[in-house]
Amino acid sequence: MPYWLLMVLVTLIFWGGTGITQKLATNHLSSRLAFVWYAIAFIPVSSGLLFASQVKWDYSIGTTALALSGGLLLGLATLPLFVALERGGKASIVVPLVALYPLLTVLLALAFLGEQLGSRQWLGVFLAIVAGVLLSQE
Amino acid sequence: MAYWLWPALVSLGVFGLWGLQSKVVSERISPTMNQILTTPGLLAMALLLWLRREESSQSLATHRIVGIGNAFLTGVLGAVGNMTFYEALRHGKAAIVVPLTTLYPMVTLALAVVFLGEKIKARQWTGILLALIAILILGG
Repeated sequence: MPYWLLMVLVTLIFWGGTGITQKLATNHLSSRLAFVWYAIAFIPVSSGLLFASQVKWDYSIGTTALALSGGLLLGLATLPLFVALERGGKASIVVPLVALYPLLTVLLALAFLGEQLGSRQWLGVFLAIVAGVLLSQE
Repeated sequence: MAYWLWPALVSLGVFGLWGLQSKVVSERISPTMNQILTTPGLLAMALLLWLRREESSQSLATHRIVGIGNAFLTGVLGAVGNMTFYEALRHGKAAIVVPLTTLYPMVTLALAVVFLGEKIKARQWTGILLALIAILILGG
């Protein structure tokens, strides 16, 4: 098994677990407040990482800024999702629609990173995206 | 266009961009550093949400603690998953890793069956089947 695939599978397990805890959280809290506490949990995790690992701060300003933008993008992606649901969008439509985002990443990666996919990989990506949409429905 | 569609499309677009950004950053810095640097931006957005919150539920204090505890646990699991996601992106193509990692509801469904006693619907079974085929094809 390729190393990157092993990491993908481990990611699926951890993120898969978040689906359960998120559901248990939103049984008692609004989605917004649950997101706030989700973000707060990043403080001890990242602080622990900062102290436990010997982090080298030798990155350029550009790279640091690009990395910092990750959290902003995650937040900026989540916020309009709440707005769409609050404006009357049905979760059964909005959530699967947003689950199409890997398609955009694929197109951007092909256009800007020079990545290429063979016909077999295209089939796999297509099936993964269709599966993602089906799995995102309640 | 429906009033809710615009924000939904913005969400789709920004998540798509995040996938690309994650790949570019993962090639330059370690997953640990990436996770650390992701935190301030996410907290800033969470603060914005907290300031605009409209908490209508009158949950009992104990229920709120359960909710907060689970939301917090979501963040811990999410953060650890982020690091393995960044590590996968370091070594794999974004065009493959990002679609595969969005299949995580498959694991959620399995856990929901075991721990919450939920039943899987036909549509979700189809999703699981397609997801497994996709993993086999892309991992082979």
